Amino acid sequence: MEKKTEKNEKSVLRVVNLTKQYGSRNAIDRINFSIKKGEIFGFVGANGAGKSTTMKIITGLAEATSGDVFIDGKRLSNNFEKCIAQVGSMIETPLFYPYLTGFQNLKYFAKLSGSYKRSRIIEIANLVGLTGRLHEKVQNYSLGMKQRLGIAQSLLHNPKLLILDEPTNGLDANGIREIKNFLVRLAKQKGVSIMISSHILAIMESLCDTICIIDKGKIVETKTIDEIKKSCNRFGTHFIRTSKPNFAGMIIQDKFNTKARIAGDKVLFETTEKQLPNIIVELTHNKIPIYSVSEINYSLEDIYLDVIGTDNAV
Amino acid sequence: MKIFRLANAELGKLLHRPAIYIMTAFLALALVITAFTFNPQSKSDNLTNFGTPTGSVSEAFAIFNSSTTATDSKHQLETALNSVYQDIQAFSTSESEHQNLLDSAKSVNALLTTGNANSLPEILYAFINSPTTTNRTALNNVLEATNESIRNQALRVYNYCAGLSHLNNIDYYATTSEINEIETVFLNLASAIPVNIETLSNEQIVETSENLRTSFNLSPTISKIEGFKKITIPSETITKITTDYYDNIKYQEGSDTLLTNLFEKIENFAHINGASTEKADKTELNKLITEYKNATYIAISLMQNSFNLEKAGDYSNAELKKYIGFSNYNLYNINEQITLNQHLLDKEMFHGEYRTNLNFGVLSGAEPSAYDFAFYAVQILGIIIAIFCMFFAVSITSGEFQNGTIKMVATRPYTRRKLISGKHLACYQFMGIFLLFVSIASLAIGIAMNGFTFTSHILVFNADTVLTLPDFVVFLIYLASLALNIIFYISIAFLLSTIFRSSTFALFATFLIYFFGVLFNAIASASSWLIYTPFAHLDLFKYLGNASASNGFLAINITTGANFVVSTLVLLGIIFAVQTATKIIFNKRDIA
Repeated sequence: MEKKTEKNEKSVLRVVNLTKQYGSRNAIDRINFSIKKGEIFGFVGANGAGKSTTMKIITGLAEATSGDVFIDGKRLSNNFEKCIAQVGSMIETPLFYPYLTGFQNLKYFAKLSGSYKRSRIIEIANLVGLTGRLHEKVQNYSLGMKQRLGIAQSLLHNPKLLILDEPTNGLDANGIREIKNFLVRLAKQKGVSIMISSHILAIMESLCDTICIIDKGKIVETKTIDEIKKSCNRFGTHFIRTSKPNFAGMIIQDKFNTKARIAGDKVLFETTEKQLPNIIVELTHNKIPIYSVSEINYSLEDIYLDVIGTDNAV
Repeated sequence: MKIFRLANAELGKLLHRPAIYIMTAFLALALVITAFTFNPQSKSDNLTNFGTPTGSVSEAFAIFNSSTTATDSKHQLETALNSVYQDIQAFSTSESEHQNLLDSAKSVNALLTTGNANSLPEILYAFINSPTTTNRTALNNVLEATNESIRNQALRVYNYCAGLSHLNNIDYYATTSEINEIETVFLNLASAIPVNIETLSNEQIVETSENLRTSFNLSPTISKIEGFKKITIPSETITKITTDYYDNIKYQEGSDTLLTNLFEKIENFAHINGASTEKADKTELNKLITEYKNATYIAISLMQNSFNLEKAGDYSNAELKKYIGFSNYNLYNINEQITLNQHLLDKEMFHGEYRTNLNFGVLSGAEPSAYDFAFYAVQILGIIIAIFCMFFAVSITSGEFQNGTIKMVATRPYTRRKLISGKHLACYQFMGIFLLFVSIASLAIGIAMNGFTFTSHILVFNADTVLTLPDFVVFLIYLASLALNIIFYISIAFLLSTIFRSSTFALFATFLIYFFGVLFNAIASASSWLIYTPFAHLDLFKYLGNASASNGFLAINITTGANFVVSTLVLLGIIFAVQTATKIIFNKRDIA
C-alpha cells in the first residue's frame, strides 16, 4: 500500500522502480519519477540510454520486468484500458497506413478511441500544421509531415498525458518552433502533462519544466530547470568583458569577497543583482574599462555533459 | 461492444485498399466461369426399360416375367437376392473349414513328434537301434506312408492358406501376414519331404528324418491357428437377418411378402392395359417394375450390410482393416446405408425419386432445383474464400507488425486480448460477407438456370437418423459447416501470424496446412495415424450423408470411427486451443 502523499495524489504519471531486462542486460534499472499536471517533463539521454524503453512500458507496448506505472493514480497493469485512454503517445517513428490519407488515418484512430468527430480532426490538423495535405495518401508524406501527423494522432482523444518520443525529429526550424509553442500552450493552458524525450538539448532547455537525465538505464539526475541553473553556479553568475581582466579580477576578489575566474578577456564571478551595480561602480572607479556585463547562461549541454561525464563515448 | 468497434474499423480500412476490389472481381469471375462449367448429368430415374417402341404392354410384361437373361428381369432380380442369401447361409456352414485347417496341422505335428507310436521319430529310432534289412523295409514302408501323409497334409494346409488371401468370406479374424507365415511353414515342410524314399541311403534317410523332426516344430504355428479369433454370429441373428430381408420380402406366389405384392401390382396393370401400345402405359409399367427392382436392391443391401456389420464384431474400423476380407470395410458407411435403406423399406419408398446426396455437379433424382448450382458453386468458391480469409488474417496481424502500425493501435484503450479478438471478428465478418455474396449470387444463377424449383433431400445424420430436409436448410447447414472449416484455418493463420512476424512465412505456412487439409481426403486411409489428426474432423457436413454416392469432391470420405459429437468436440476444441494460444502469445510479446 503506497502512502498517499501530496505528490502522489497530484501526479498524472508516476513510475516506481521500473526495470526492464533483456536477457542478462538491464535496459532500464529501477527508474523512478513522476509528472505533475501541466508539467513538461524532459527525458534526456544518449542513444540506447533507455528513454524509448521507458516510454514503451508506460504506453503498454512493452512489459516491465518489475516495477509499476501509475497513471492518474491507477496502476497501469491492472487498469490498462482506463489508464491508456488518458494517454496520447508517439513512440519512435510514427507509422501509418500508407494506403489511407492523413485524414483517413486519423479517422481510424479516432474511431478506435471511441470518438470520431470530423471537426476535431480538422482542428487538430490545423494545430499541427497539416491542413493542406490532410487528404493525401500517407505514402506521399515527408518525414516532417508524418511527424506532424504522429503528434496529431496523439491528441485525438484529449489525453491528460502526452508521451512524445523525439517529437521534433524531421521538422524544420519553423516546424520546431510551432510545435514548441503549441506544446507549451497545451501544458499551460489546457493542463496537459507532457513527457518528451529528445537529445537536442537546446530545445529541451527552452521547453521543459523538469529535466530527467538517464544514462545506461539508470536515472542520473531529475531537476527542474531552475534547480539546474541554480546548482551550476560553479563559475559564478555574471561576467564582464574588459581589457584589464586580471586587475578587475583582483578588485572583485579583494573588495567583494567573492571568487573570480579569468577566461581570456572575461572575468567570471558570483554576485547578486543587488551587488552587481556596486561592483560595476567600483571597477569604473578604478578606471577599468568595461565592454559588457552579462549573466552567465549555462546551457543544458554544459550540464548534461558534466553530469554524464566526458568519457561517455558511444 | 468494443470488439465490434475494432472489427468494423478493421473492415472499414479494407474499403480503401484496391485488394478488396480485386478479390471481389476475382470471385465474381470465378463464379461466372463456374457457371459455364456447370454441366450436371441428369441421373436417370433409373427406370427399367422393358418393351419395344411399337410393342404392347403385355409384351413388355412378358419379357420381365419370363426372361432369364434380360437385365432386371424378375428372374435376374430373384437370383441376385438369392445369392446374397446363400452367401449368408454358407457362412454358417463354413465353420468347418477352420476346424479342417486345425486338424490337418495337428495331424502333421503328431506325425513329426515323439510319443506317437506311428510317428516318424519312433520308427526312426527303431531303425537306428537295429538297422536290419527288415527294419529298413518296414521303415521304408512306413516312411513312405508317413511322408506321403505329412506331405499331403502340409500341402493341404498350404493350399488352404494360399486360397485364403483371395477369399472374402472367411470365418475367423486373421491378418494377411499371419496367413502367409503359416503358408510358408507348411510350404517349406512339404518341400523338405523327399518324394522318392528308395533311392536314399540309410544315412540320408536318417538325416532327412532328423532334419524333419528338429527343424519343424509346428507347435507355435498350431498355437497361432488355435489363437485365431473366430468370427461369431449367433444363429438367431442370422435368422433374423434372413427373415427380415429375405423371407419376408422375396417373391412367393400366394404369400403376402413385399415383392409378391409389388409383383401383383405389375401383373394387374399388365392385365388391364395389356393391349396398349402407348408410350405412357409402357412407362407406367416400367415405373412399377422399377419399384420392384428398387425394393429388391434395398433388401439386398440391407441383408448384405447387416451381415457385414455382424461380421465386423466389436472391432473398430482401424482394427478391422488389417484382417483378410475386411480391407474395404467402412463401418460408418455401412451403418449409414442400413439406416437409409431401412427407412426406405419402412416407408415403402421404392420409386427412387428422392434426392440423393448433393454431388459435385451431378444432378441426382428426378427434379432439378435452383440450389443445385448453389451447392456446386459454394464448394468450389469456398476454397477461394478460404484463401482470401487467410490472406486477410495474416495481413492484419503480421502485416501490421511489419509496417509498424501495430504500435499505434496497441496504444489505444484495448487490452491485447480485445485487439486480437477484434481481428478475429473482422475476419469472420469478412468471411461471412463473401459467403453471403457467393451464396446469393449462385442462388440467383441457379434460379436463372432451373427456375424457382426447390426440392427436399433425404439425408442420414450421424449414420443413425433419417432427416428429410428442404433445400435451403441443407444449404444453410452446409454453409455453417464450411464456415466452421474456414474458421479453423483462420485461427491457424492468426496463430502463425502472431508467432512469426513475417507475413510471407505465416502465409506460406498457413497455405501449406490448408492444402494438406484439402488433400487429406486423397492421401489418408482409415488405418493410418492421420485419422487421429484434426484434419479428419474438419468437415462436419459429412455426417449429414446419403449412402448412395460419394460426398462430393471436397468432403472427406474416410471414416475415423468417430461420430458427429466427437468430431464437433475435436474441431471446436482445436479451434479453442489455437485461439487461446494466440491470445496468450499476443498478450505477452513486446511490440516494438
